[in-house]
Amino acid sequence: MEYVIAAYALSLGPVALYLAHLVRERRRLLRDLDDTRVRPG
Amino acid sequence: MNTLLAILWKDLVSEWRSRDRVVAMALFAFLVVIVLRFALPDTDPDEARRLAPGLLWVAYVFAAILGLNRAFALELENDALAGLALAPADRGFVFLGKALANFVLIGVVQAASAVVFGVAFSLDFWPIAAPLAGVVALGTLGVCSVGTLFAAISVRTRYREVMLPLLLLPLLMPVLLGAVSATTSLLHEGRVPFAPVQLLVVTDVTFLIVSFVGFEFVLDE
Amino acid sequence: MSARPVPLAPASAQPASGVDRLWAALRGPSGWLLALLAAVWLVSVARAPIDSVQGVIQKILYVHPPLAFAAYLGFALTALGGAAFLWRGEEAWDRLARSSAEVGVLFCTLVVVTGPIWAKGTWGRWWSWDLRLIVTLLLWFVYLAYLMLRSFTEGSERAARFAAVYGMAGLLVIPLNYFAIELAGNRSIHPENLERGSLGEGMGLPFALGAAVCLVAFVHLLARRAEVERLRGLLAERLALAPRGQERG
Repeated sequence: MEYVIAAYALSLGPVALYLAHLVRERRRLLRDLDDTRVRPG
Repeated sequence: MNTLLAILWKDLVSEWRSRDRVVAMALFAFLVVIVLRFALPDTDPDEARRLAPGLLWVAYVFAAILGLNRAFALELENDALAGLALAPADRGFVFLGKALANFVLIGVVQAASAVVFGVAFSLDFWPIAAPLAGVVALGTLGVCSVGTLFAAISVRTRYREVMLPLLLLPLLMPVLLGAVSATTSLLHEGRVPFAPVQLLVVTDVTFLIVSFVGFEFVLDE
Repeated sequence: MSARPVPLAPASAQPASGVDRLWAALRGPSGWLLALLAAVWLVSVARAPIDSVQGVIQKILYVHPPLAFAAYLGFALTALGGAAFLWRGEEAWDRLARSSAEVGVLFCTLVVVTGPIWAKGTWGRWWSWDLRLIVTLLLWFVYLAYLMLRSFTEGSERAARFAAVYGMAGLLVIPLNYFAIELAGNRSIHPENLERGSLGEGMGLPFALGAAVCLVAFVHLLARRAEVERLRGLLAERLALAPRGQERG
């Protein structure tokens, strides 16, 4: 049983971490892009 | 076709004048053989015979990578890579010229290190010299084809000496398996079965076509 | 005095090309679908019958091969994206190739991790030099080298060209590897065909769901990764365009 749990945890965990990384990276990039806009005035 | 011969001739002549690549490769191959010998100190002749084909190819591939790393070094140092790219000919033939030059240089080193290997492991390669040369030539053709392509790539990257083996080794699996299998049969039974030769020929042809076409995209000015 | 500020697109920067629009459209729906499917899948795995021969460890079946499907899909798309880039020269194809290589390497890593866990539980050892194991391991090395090549090459156009050539060569070597390893006399411990015979009663559904979850997860991650890649390119472009001192607004 512990083998099964390990296999599922080791597959779902990294995928979730990678997904979280992509979500954070997208937010950061959008924020940085917003900062590079040249504002009038 | 003329491009091919011109590049081949240029590479061989410049190597003949300096002889640095062949000497470095050969010394390295000898060292690898000696290291392998000392890594297996108490090997009896039968055991040595059993392990020899794999070890021989380890030495060959390492030496070949060392040589391939320098395949475009001269052009890089003299800023001549762009000239190679702008040559008024099909870049595929530029590739074939470079690959053939590598093939010849590596072949010289392989012949010399086979002698050292035979002495170090008390093996007599002489009776099977001709078929062994054929097998080694087929294997080396596979190594030189993708090897030359990836050398052209890695010479334009950072850490190029590290990049080449990382790119090359995982793709060399079919070549190495075929070559080691053929060498093993040759050493144990004195003949080469059809299957590994077939694998080597199919792999060589595939790699040559891929590199011939791919070389078009890896040279830039 | 400085030059007139260049009017730039709004920060949300809508994707311009077709492939990029596809990713943007896929991001939301595939995420919801993924969450839904994953929940159903986990329940069905928990409720699946216990295998009479292997016992509970057989349940790794519902995650291990599906991960492999996604990994192979990733490498196929890498080669395809590379070929399309060399042919059409559009950056969007290169972003597809690069993103699917990264997501493919992630899934391939998980295949290489879950496989030994199953092997240890059933055969008592972590690794065996089985045909499909070697091919998968070599693919993993090839596409790791692919990613390293990308990060070690300067100039994005050149990196894209190099990587496209390498990614296609990496795919072409697969059939040769199968041929070679069979020659070396390694028998396969993997069943040749999963559909016929090896799936017992009640195991088909969780397996199919697992495959669906992995494929949807792949598409979702790919869409997000490709978007991140596009935004990175956009940001680099903006920073290069922006007059000095104005990078931060």
